[in-house]
Amino acid sequence: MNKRTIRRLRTMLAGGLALTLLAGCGSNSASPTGSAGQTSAGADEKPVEISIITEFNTPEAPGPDNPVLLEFEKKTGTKLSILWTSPNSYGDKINLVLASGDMPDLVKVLDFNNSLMRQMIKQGAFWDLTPYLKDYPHLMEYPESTWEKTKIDGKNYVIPSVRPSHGGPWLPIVRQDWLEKLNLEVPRTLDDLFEVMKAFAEQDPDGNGAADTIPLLPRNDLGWAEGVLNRSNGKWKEADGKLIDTTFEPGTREGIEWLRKVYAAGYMPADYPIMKETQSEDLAKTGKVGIYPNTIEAIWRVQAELIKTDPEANFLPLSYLESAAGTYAPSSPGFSGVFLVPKSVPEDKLKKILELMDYGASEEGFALACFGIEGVHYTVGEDGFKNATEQAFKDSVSQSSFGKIFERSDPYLWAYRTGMPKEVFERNKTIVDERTQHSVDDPSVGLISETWLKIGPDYTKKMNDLKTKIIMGQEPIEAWDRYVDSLKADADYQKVIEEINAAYSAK
Amino acid sequence: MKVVTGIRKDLFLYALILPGFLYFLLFKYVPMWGIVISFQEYSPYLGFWQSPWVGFEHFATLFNNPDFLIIFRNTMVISMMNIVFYFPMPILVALMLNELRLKRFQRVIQSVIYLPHFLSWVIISGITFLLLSQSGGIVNKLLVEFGREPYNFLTNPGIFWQLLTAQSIWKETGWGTIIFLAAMAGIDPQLHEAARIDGAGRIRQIWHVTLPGIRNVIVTLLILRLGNIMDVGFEQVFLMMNSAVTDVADVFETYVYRNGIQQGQFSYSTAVGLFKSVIGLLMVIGANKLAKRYGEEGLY
Repeated sequence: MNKRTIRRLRTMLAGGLALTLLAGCGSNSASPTGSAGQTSAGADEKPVEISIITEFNTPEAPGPDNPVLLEFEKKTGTKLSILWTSPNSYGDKINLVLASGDMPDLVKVLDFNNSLMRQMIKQGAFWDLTPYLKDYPHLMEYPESTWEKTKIDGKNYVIPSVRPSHGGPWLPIVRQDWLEKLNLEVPRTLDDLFEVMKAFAEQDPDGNGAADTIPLLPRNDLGWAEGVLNRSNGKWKEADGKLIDTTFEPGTREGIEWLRKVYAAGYMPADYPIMKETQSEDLAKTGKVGIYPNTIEAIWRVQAELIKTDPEANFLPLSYLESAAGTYAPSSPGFSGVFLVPKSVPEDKLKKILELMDYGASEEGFALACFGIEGVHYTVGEDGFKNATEQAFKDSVSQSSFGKIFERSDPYLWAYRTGMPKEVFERNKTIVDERTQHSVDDPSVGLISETWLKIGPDYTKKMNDLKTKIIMGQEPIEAWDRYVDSLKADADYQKVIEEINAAYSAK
Repeated sequence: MKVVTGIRKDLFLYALILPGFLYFLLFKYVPMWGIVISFQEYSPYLGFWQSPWVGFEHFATLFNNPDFLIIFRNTMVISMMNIVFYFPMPILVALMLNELRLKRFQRVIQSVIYLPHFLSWVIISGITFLLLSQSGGIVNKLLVEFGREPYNFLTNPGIFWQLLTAQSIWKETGWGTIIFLAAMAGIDPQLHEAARIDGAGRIRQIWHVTLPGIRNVIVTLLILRLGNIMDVGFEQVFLMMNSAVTDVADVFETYVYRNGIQQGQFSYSTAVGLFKSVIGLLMVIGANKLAKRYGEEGLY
């Protein structure tokens, strides 16, 4: 290597170094000026930076310069960086976040029984909020029962993501205009539902002269069919002071058989198990679907699309279903997901975070989260109803975005969705009220069986796979009997029943 | 002393190696220590050093799991079907391309059949659904049009394996030809000429000149392929799986995903991964030995 090459190399290296240095400077200098611009507008105190991870259900996530976000920052003296994460893989994502050890200051976990979260709480990875909470009046306005249900070992490690008890769970939603056209009553039993499906399939309710309607568009969870027959909300049901597993109940078997009958009659899509959530929603938006199990709120998304071409289209969420076991409208536990603050957050900042959440739980903060800023995101009508503007959609202002963090107990939260007119909202409120009267609760909320945490997901998957196969006619119904028998002899599975009952009686 | 002068002499060359060396050290060898968590009850909060040791417990759990045999079978069958049906495809196509007279035509065909390789599995499974689904799939619409019953492709355990193999063939055959075409280009043209003078036709030339000329490459690729016998690819299976076909579709990758990522059992899923790697290593060593016994060069 001669001298000239070395010299040339040196200049090259120096040049490269200078470039990287410049690039470094560029990115460094950009952020301070950015935040400085915001602080000068805010309070005289330096805003506290808080990072949050949450899920969202609006089509787009709110951006970092979202006006509602800036308003929250201004009101609470904070600088928020929110990691909006798609709900589709939120469970996976949150497990990785927990495992990485590099957690945001406020972490939302959707599954209250998440075993990793439970384990880490035991090991002391999160703040015990019990001594602090009483200082935050708006948070204390959350229902007492919700605070109770979300205690772990008698302590409040989590802030519940508070949600109403009714209006969330899926029940069938029926095209009311089709019912009226064919002179049918609102279905109440599974037999009624079958008759309605039959009419939808054969009598051309959409009047296009072709037998192309989809009487039932199922989604992944068909649990309501056995739920109504067992009159149970979920896997566990209370009987004589004990919890029994509905897997062994005759209603579960009847539910599977009923669905099998529906499938065999061709009243639901032949390959329904491969349909993704968005696919089935797109199908529902074509206006060919008669019955579509969903939430009261989410169906509005479909209906808003339908009434553009067919103003008569009207989806009626059923208030309840009934069977010999009684009327049935499953309730929610009063929260959907929980917030935790990792121990790595200093105490001062913890207090600031609680302050922020407390503001979000106030009437003002909650209205800001769900409706946005008056004049920009909504206008108030003469009747006091807040009508959303186009800007509300553009800025993703919704209970499904900011309302996923800033929450207040509101029994009719799930009756409303951004853009819904007043009549529909009022009708939905009456449905929520009716559901409250037929409410069936899940007695197992917050109860933990260590064995189930470990083996449960595999068993649940197997059970659901088998149900699907029987419904599709790939396996006979006797396969279910054999499976149930094998569970009766399964020591691990029986241990789960014992552990859940021990937890239930300890409560 | 000799070493130092040696290094000083070729300093520039060593400097060129350095980034690659660091890459392997940092991203391949250091993380390898992560496998120790398969012998621990690893908890992210306690970390590497404080998580308790459990020995071979996770391996015992794996082998005692009644699903283990099903998953093992599915993995092996899907892999073997790939080797038997997909592996010869690129060789066949490469041979055919090699025989084309019009070189420009050959190049066009080559470029066109590479394309599917660059589509992600998400898109390919999307296309498969569009083609084959029972509610609105094009193939089933055609079947109905011709008075036949619609056929259940996607939720049918009986043809799931074939479906996967067909997808792999469609996606990777073109891409796989590259390496064989390159090997064929390296064959001395004099051999072909000599064969022609001796009166060998096209087929004979292929059999006696071209194929022996690329034999080394075929064997090497086959050995490498056998090393990956436990990897069937997560994305493809995960995207094509549904509850009607789980019994034939569940493989180690999807099992690790469910247990490791979805349920946070990191130690257990690491143990499964380690088991897979050990099998893969054994396959490579075995295949290499076998190749050598039959007079091939092998990998090492």
